[in-house]
Amino acid sequence: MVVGGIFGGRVMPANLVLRAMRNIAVGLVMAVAGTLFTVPAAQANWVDDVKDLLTPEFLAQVWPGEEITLGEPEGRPLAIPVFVDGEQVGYLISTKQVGNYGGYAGSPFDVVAGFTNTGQVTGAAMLLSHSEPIIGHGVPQSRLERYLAQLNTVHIWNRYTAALQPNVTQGATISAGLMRDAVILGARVVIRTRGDVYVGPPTVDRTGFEALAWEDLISGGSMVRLSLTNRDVAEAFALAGYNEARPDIPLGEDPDGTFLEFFAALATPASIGQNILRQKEYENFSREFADQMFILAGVGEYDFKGEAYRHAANQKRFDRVQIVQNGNVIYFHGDQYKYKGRLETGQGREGKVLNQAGVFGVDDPLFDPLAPFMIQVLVHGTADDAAITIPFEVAYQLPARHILGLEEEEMAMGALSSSDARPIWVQAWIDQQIDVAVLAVALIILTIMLIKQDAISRHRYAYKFIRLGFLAFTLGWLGWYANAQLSMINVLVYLQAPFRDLAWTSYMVEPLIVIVAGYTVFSLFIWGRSLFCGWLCPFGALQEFLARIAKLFRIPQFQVSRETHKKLWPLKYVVFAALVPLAFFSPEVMVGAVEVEPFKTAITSHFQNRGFWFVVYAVAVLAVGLVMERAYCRFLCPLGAGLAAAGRFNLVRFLKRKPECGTPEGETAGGCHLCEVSCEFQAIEPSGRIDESECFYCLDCQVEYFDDQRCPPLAVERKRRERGLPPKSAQAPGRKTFPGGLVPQPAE
Amino acid sequence: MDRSETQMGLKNTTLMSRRRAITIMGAASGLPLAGIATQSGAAAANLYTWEGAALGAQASMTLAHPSREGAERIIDLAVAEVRRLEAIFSLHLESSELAALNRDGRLSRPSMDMLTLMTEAVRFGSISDGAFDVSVQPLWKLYSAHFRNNKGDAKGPAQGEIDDVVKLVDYRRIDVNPLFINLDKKGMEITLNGIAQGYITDKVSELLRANGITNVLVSLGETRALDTHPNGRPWLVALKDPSNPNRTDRTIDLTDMSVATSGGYGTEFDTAGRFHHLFNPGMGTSALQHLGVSVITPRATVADALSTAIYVSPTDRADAIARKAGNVTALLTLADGRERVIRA
Repeated sequence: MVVGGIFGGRVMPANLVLRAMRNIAVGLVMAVAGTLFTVPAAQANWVDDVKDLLTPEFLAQVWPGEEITLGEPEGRPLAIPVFVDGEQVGYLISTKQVGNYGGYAGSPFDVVAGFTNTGQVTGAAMLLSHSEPIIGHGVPQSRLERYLAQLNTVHIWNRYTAALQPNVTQGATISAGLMRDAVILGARVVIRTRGDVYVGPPTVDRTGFEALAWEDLISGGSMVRLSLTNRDVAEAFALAGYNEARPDIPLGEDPDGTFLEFFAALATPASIGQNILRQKEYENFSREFADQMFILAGVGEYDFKGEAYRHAANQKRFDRVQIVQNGNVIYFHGDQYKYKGRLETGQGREGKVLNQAGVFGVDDPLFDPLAPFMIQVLVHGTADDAAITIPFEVAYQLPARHILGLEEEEMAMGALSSSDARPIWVQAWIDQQIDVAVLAVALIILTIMLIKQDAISRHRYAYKFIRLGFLAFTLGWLGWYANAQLSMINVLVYLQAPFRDLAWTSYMVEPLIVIVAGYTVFSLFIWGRSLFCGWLCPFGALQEFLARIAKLFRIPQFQVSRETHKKLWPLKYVVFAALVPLAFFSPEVMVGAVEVEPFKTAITSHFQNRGFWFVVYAVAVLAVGLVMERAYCRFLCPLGAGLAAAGRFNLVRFLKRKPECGTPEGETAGGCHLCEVSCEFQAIEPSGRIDESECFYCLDCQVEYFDDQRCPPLAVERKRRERGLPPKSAQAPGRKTFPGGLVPQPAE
Repeated sequence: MDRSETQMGLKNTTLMSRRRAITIMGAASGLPLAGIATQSGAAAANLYTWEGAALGAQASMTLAHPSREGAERIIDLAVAEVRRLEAIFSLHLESSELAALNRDGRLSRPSMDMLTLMTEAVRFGSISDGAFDVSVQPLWKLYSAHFRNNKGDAKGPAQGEIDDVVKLVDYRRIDVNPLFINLDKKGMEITLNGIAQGYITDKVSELLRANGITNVLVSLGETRALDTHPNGRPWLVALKDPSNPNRTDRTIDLTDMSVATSGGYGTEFDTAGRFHHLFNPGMGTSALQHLGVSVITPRATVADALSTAIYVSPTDRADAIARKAGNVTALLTLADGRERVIRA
């Protein structure tokens, strides 16, 4: 066999195996000494004796189906390596051996089990020797055997498998359970200590042992040292910034004399603790301090332990040594401290004797042994009659060799942040964070543009470019790419929300829709419905582009008379009013009814994969839009109607008007009608008033408003200015200049 | 040392396949699980087991608790939760919301659970570019009818039949919102079997946690670990060897994590294993590029959906899907037995 085993991925030196075997031999002798009168003497030499009992027939029971050869028993707990074709594939263990290791020795049976390196139990059977007549114990042997035969379904890491409760073995349940546990526990320890697999998040390696001398511990960073001379302390006090600061304990005469030679190590890893302490001590302390433990030791004039830990008034805290990690102070406590006496830093003459040594348990949940921390030695003193404390500190980071799982591939599972089982709506926002950011930037740009609408409206061609650019974004990105087309369904969903007992989170799962809807509600108060319809509706944008193309190809445009317009626009309110009750009383019908919106066909589905008639309808709506811009929006769109109804309450009106605009009140003709005619949507009444419910905030009227080539009052002013005449408005403010009426052709 | 085992209708069962087994093992706060030996061997708690059926599979729950009344109360709660969700997601219960959706093509005012799960389902459809698609039910119907009626015909359904049915498979044609769920095409049908088990696992986990049961491993088709093992270690979960589902081939540690495994081996239609329940939604054929895919991630719903999505995707798409989903480890066993680990 291979001399040496695999130890946490590293080859274990042969002398360590020998050491481990020696330990086992000692343990065996002790166990035998205690139980000599019940256990046959042959058991004492299990290692030798058992080989004779492992007949080929027996091995076929515990490792069926494969031709195996056995290596030399080794390790702690004792296990026999199993080889198939020269490759080590698993181990055999005996419950008697691992049982002793595991702490229970009551079972009168010895069961040998085989398991693979990955933890699959291959089989288990009772090891019968002539000297151990099983019948004498009064236990139904066949039932126990039947139970053991089932153990080959067990995977040792898979304890939740409920299938193997040992209740089949009436009369031997407890024994059977103990055997099973001994097999599983023993196999786990064998794999954890010798296998080359550790699967899991990083953890302090409490089992992997590697012999390290004191210097190795220091040079590898497993143990840190803090050397303070009297001078160091005196200087620290002198530099502390106080007058007359001095330590409470008088410093020695010799400035180079040792104030404190201090050593500290996390003792939890076997390769640290067991190299400083004796094995038995290490095991005892490990049991006592189940969480983490430190070894702190020192020599010199300063007693780093002090006296405070003896007194309840100090909460039994050590006041001269502490840990600082992430800004948290982790105290050592008197209740978790074991006096260790002295430690030697090395063999023979080179060694230094540390006469103050102790083992300190730490179970503070704030403490993470794998993360870096500082160990502080505190020296108390007085300055200006006040108490001061000077800390001397040394950094500690547990070296990777003592951490299981760091080098393992599977370790990344531990790197997954745990407990962040996020709800779906949060996940949706995280998934779409880039889209959310893009939309947010777009909305901010849009808001700024509208605040600066006067400035951009002054530049007819720049404005045209800006508007078409934003509409391209609305159609291409918001609509076709991100499918964030607000629709009647969203409105109805929100409307019925107060009457449903769904969690509010149900309404948050579509981030872009939520944002567009939120922005639209906000905009209702400022710009009315027109902001969404004119700028953020992808279907609206699509119609506007088609209208532009139609005009480019000189497709004749058709405009209804103002009377027809007035008869048609209420239609959309009827559609809206019809849909709302459906949401409450018959969602089934509503599903079909909302198809009056061609959004799903034209925007979210890109005209694909929809029923024939849906496509025909969407194309028809768009075709009408070719000859009459936004005919759908003006006359049919229930979403627009709903928004317009809500937008009645908008607080401010930004679209500028002049006194000259429209026919003056009380007259039947006259006034300027330039904007009225240039408004494709007939949203400007002959009186000059803008009907905000019909307005799409396209700003065409504002472009005219600022155009001194086209807006008649401005044109008059411009001409006067060109002739060097004073502004007419200075002479007759507010007078209407065009009593005969003026109807120019709209600009291209 | 004594160890008592209290049983409530406890029967020994043969080792069930993990995918079908529904098991909960948990312990009241601070109590170690019965049957888990601590180093000192001192721990003992009463073990209560319930056996029954859920989502058409054998189910059992095992729970360690100091009192019989406490255990019964919690098991009753958990069973009631499973039953409640089953009544929503079952394909076969005529009164379920899912059955109504499949029958009518629409479902008005879905329950919170139906809404949430359908929203998740559509989201995973888009994350996986359609690899995970809950609308594959017509394909399942086609295949199961084919193999039921033509036992000898091992070639599978005719290409024409498959093509017709594939047209009905498209998660994008499902509208989900709090008002209604609508299947856009006549003949579309939904199956939630690729995600509901994970969802139920999550819901029962939350219920147990709300009832003070910590340190639980919930295994309701998919597996979710709440916190650590009562001993403070991670939970250890063995994964089936995809090439030999009767054995396990690796173990993983779980702490506050879920794992789900997809493999075609559970539900072969034919003996050769070329046709099983995991379809490639775009092609309408059973996916054969992987033997098994396990996904580890915090929520069992996510693990469940992603394991299916990755299983049916081309192997080179798996990274992208895992990356999009985020916080995912996926273990892939390819058809030739090679293994891949993806982390994202």
